Amino acid sequence: MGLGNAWRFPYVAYTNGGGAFLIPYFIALFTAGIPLMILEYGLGQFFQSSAPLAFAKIKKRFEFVGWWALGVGTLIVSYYAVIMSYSFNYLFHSITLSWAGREESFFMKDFLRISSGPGELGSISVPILLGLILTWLLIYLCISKGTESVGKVVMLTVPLPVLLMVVLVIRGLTLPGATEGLAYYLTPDFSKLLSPSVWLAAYSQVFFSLSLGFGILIAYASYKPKGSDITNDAFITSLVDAGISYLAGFAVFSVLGFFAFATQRDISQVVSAGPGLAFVVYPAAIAKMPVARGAFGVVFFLMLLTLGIDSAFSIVEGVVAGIQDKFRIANKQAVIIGYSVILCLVGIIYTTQAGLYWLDIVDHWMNNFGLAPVGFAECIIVGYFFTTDRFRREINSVSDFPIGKWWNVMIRFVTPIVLAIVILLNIITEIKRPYENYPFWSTLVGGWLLVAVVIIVSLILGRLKGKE
Amino acid sequence: MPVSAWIMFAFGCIVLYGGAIWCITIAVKRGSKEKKRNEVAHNQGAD
Repeated sequence: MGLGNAWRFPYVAYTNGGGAFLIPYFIALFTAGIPLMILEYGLGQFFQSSAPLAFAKIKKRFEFVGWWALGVGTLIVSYYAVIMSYSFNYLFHSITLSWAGREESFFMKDFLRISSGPGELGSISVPILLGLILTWLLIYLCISKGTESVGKVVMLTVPLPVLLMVVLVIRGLTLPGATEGLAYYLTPDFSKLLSPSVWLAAYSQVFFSLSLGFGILIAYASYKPKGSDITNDAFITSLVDAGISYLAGFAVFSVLGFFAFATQRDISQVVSAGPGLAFVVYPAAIAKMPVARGAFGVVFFLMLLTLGIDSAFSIVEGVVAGIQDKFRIANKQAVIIGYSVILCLVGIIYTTQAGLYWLDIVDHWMNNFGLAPVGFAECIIVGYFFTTDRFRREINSVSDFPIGKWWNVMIRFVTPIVLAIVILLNIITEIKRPYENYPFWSTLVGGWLLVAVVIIVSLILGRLKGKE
Repeated sequence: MPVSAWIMFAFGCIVLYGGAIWCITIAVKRGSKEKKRNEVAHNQGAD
């Protein structure tokens, strides 16, 4: 469980029409999520190396795909840390419940002091900047202890958020109007199935939430003992992750139903959809708790913070492993410190008054035109240059339930074809109509340019000779 | 809620939670089998 479940899933589902989003989401989970997770776990376990080295072992010229994945992960973690900084700040605001009764206006006006657009940066928010520095310090402390400490931290920080989420669902469901919210969340809208943007959003959400296309799973699977049941591990991880997202949807949409009931507005209009949704809806649910609201708020945001740290240090671990593998740098601490300082500096843009706009743009482009293309490339490489049959035999030799030929079909045909179509259709859509009506120059700088830079840098790193 | 929403609700619960429980059961069985095998190997080694 990570921010992908509690923060990103609800806002992506709300932006894409609630029930209209669920069918593509489930299809994406089974056609791309699970098959690609088996693929990434398999690559990591068989090659026992980080993402770039694993691809280089298939063919040297594919090493850049590993760097591409790590590059996309790097840009994602740059704003991920800012979401964690928001949680840090909300943790303190919980003590006084500063937002009670005016959640959206508190988040947008008092907390972010949001400007009129991405071009108007305004000033840096000191509390968000301090939260960002603290977040990177925490990530550094967790990761510098090695993967064993990662396991311990995750063991502590995963079960409690699930419990808190269940409490929020119960509170949400008992609010007036909750049924309308759930109807919006669960009623399928088949007309939306023709919209390529909904499909790409669903695939990207599956990639983000399962950490596919980041290179993380390859690095982590390289630590798994030989003989681990890859197939079952992939199924458990994917189904539990999607199950928690699905649960978070109940908490958020029941509160949205309450907002619609209280303001007598249509549910699609009650709050501004976007990355800030979680910081409007969860606080509203907390403010409606019958007892110990402040304490519940503190515990909830503390948990949101630890969830973010789980996800963030896994991304950092993947990149650090890649750099160490390539350049044979023995001093891991130096790599972590250098990487954390650079990303903390990059994150300053998101602490400005236009930060949320830039976060939204980078999040949209890195997920839709970063993770999804990396997933496409992985399918092509394993499907056509490593032979899926050989790969499947290797996986089946260590797994309790063997994967059938359906996996070959998914990796060679279904997943890459679907991804290629939705990516291409979305590129056309983005060019015709800029995302969320942001100025074209801002989507060019924060979107297309960043995507291009990541690819160019990956190609250069892939061609560089590593230290033997 | 409309019937289609109830169907989606049931589908999500059965597939996601039912599927997860089924897979976890397999993993637990595998774990206990491996534990038994290790114990047998350990006992044989001690003999």
